[in-house]
Amino acid sequence: MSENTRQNGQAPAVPLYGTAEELCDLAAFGLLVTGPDGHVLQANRTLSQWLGYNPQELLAGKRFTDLLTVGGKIFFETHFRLLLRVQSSVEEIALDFVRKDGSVLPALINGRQQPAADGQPGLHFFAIFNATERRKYERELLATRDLLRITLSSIGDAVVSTDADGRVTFMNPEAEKLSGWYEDDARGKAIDEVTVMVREDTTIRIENPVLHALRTGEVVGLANHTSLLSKDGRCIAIDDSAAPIRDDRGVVVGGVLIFRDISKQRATQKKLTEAQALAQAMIDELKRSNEDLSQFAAVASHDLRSPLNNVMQFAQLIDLRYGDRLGDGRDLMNHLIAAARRMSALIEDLLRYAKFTSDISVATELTDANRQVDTAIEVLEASICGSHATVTHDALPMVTLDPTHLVQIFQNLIGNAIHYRGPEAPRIHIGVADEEGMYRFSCADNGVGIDAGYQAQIFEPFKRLHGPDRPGSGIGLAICKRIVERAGGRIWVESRVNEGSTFFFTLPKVSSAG
Amino acid sequence: MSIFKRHNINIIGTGSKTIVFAHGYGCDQMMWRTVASDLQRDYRIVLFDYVGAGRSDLASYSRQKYGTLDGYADDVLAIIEAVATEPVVFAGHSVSSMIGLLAAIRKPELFDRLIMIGPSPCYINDGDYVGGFSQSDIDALLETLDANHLGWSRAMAPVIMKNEDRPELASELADSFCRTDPEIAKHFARVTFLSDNRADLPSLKVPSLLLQCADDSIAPVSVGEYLHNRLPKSSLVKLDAVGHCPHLSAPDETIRSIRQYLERP
Repeated sequence: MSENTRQNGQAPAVPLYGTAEELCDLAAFGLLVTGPDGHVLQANRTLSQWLGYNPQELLAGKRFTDLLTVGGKIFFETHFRLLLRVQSSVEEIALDFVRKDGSVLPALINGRQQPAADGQPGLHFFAIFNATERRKYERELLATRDLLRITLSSIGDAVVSTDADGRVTFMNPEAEKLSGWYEDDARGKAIDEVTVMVREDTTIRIENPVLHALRTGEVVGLANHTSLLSKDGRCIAIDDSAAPIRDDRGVVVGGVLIFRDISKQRATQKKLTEAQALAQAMIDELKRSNEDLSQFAAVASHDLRSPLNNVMQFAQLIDLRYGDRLGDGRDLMNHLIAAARRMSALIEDLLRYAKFTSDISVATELTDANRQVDTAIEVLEASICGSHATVTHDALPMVTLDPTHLVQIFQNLIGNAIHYRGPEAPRIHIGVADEEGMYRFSCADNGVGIDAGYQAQIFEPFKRLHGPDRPGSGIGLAICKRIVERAGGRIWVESRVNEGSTFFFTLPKVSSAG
Repeated sequence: MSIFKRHNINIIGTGSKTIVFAHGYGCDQMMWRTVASDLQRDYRIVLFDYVGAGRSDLASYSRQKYGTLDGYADDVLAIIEAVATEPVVFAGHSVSSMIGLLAAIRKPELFDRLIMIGPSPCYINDGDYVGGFSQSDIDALLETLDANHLGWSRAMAPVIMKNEDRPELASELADSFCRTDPEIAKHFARVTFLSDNRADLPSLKVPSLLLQCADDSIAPVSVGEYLHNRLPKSSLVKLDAVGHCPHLSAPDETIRSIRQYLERP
């Protein structure tokens, strides 16, 4: 614009490259004018070409809404026209035109209403832009958005996203459920107001992992022992993680928080821990009381032994010095000495048992059962010969057990088989069989057998089925039972009176003590 | 929240008779501004927004409650009970005609007369009945709504909600005119255009005025006549106005028809 034209107050000399009508017709967008009743009064050539009509057809009594799809028509009547009436101007309305051939032309439309003159509504002017590609793009965007939303709504974890300032922009249904917030209410609120995180044990508030992720730009991994305080006052144990959301240039534009309810797992874990602690406490208590008991037995046995030794020595002294003067009393004296010897043997056993109970060492090395049976037979040689017993055994495996303990078992079982022999010479056989992960040893004899009612009792300490006429204190099988059970096996007997007995015990092929 | 706030109820005018104006689908109470400012000289005018529309409380929107027109009729009854002690004239545009019908069937004692502007008991064609639309047309409408709400975000809501002590029907409100949450708009569209109240028509005891536009692409003249034949005590007035919103496009003719009807004994 030159100084000149401004001073003249005249319109600047803008060259027109054609008549106004030509400009209108050749415009790169559709132009349409309707009366207040919606009838088309004028349309430019661009629009009539787009729609496949010749200009006359468009003017022949058609209304604007006749050119639209039905959906567009309803939208026009319920929204566009009202907006135009009230605001006089509406822009960027998306409507679909129907071409003469029935195909659809997606368009963006700006509308103006001519100011009303003397109370009558004015003409309507529309500029129409072909938006085929744009609308396709928008539909794809919408579909992607919906897919994303459906995906996030479908997953079982709670998801909350925020903007770069940590304000909630999205929550999925699981997040609504756990936090007690509705997405609509939470949107725009600070993340640490909507998802209040506390330490599980102290309920002291901790920094929300999203804020941490936004501040540091780092992914925040699962933090243990976090709880979520919900809007309605629940305290829910959760696993959570958070990450910054970056745009394609790497700028942090938001954050996302993912968490899940783990209160059930944590409750189970807690119960398990409690049960373990309780079991350990009971084990400790049991061990203590066992140790006390062993100690007591050892002390008691020891303290009983010396006075008993005195009794025996003095009794023998009396027998030696005054035996010939005792007359019938000498028999009584012999009974006294025998009783004292038995008591001494009992005390000896008690000491052994107590020592064994407090000895908790567990073998970890393999030992050859064949050798330990042979050792036991050697020890028992005198009574085997004396009773004309025959002892045989299978080829036995290697087992994980203290060798002296294994000798003790065989010695007790073979010894018992000889002690409780029947009228015939004892025949004793040590066998072995496979049993799921275990060796099952057996010791079969042809002795007197054991009444079914006593078969469980005999493994209890100091239980004797026979009177003092049979040797033994009743501690042997109790010790066997303890050895076997400590090694992870069990011991039992199958027997019928006068038909012999078979003692069984199992030992694990692999040490259960690990 | 009070019912006045929830529905953004505004009362103007001082007449002895109360007219409750109910907007139709796609808009809010703003659509009544010309008609209301005239009639307020002789009538007490009650304007409100349905929940989900205009400056109503969006948080009160429930897809379950508003899944049928009955949910809206419940609100209409509550509003009338809150604003009037005498039977009222209920003027409903478009779908509000049927909401008014349902409400008046349920509690006729609250209603003096009904005015239905561009009413339709059923928008979908069904056998001999010509409602004007097919099911797929309604789907196309929903797609158009999607296309036109791309720019609408929740961020708009505070703009709509603020300015609590505004002067009645201030012109700057035109900025928020017809703005609705897209999800609510789609849901209301579905409920509106898939509703079928033809079976309810004979049950109406309250007298009614049907204002039928000459050329209405939403509610054709045949639908107006169908209603007139089935609504007891109904009067049909065919307007010269064209379109679906005569109270906007031809407010004078609309006002005249309403006045004439209400002045009848």
